[in-house]
Amino acid sequence: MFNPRKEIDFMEPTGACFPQARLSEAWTPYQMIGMIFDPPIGLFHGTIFPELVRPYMPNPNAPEWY
Amino acid sequence: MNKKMSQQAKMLKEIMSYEFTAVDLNLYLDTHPCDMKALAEYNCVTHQLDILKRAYEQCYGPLAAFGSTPSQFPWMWIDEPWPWEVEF
Repeated sequence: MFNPRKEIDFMEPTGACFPQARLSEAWTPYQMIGMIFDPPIGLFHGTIFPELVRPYMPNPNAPEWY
Repeated sequence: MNKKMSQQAKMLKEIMSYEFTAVDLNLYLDTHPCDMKALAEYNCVTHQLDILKRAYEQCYGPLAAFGSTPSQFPWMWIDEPWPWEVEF
């Protein structure tokens, strides 16, 4: 008899180095539009959505790479 | 940089900012096609962008080599500076 659960277990890929590892699952909230920046401000920030402004700040303790 | 170039750069930067806003709204609408507020913003920005581009091209020549605006005689595209040569 066909067992769907067993079939899924059989089909699920596993990691080569970690046989017990499972595929990851990503979840992200659905974005809802609110206030957006005026065009010059959006261009400056790299996004028109205030909630997505996350400026890159270099870690001062990280080693420098040349 | 003379005053004329400065005004040209200012207009170009404003066009860039509106183009960026249009692209960001484009990406948002790809995943939110039924968002009426975003669509209204997109249409508003696109309309304003069209006005800005026409105003720029009337003063300083075409922004693109072909397809966007008619050219006066002689062929205007080869007039310098080209849009990417304007210093900010």
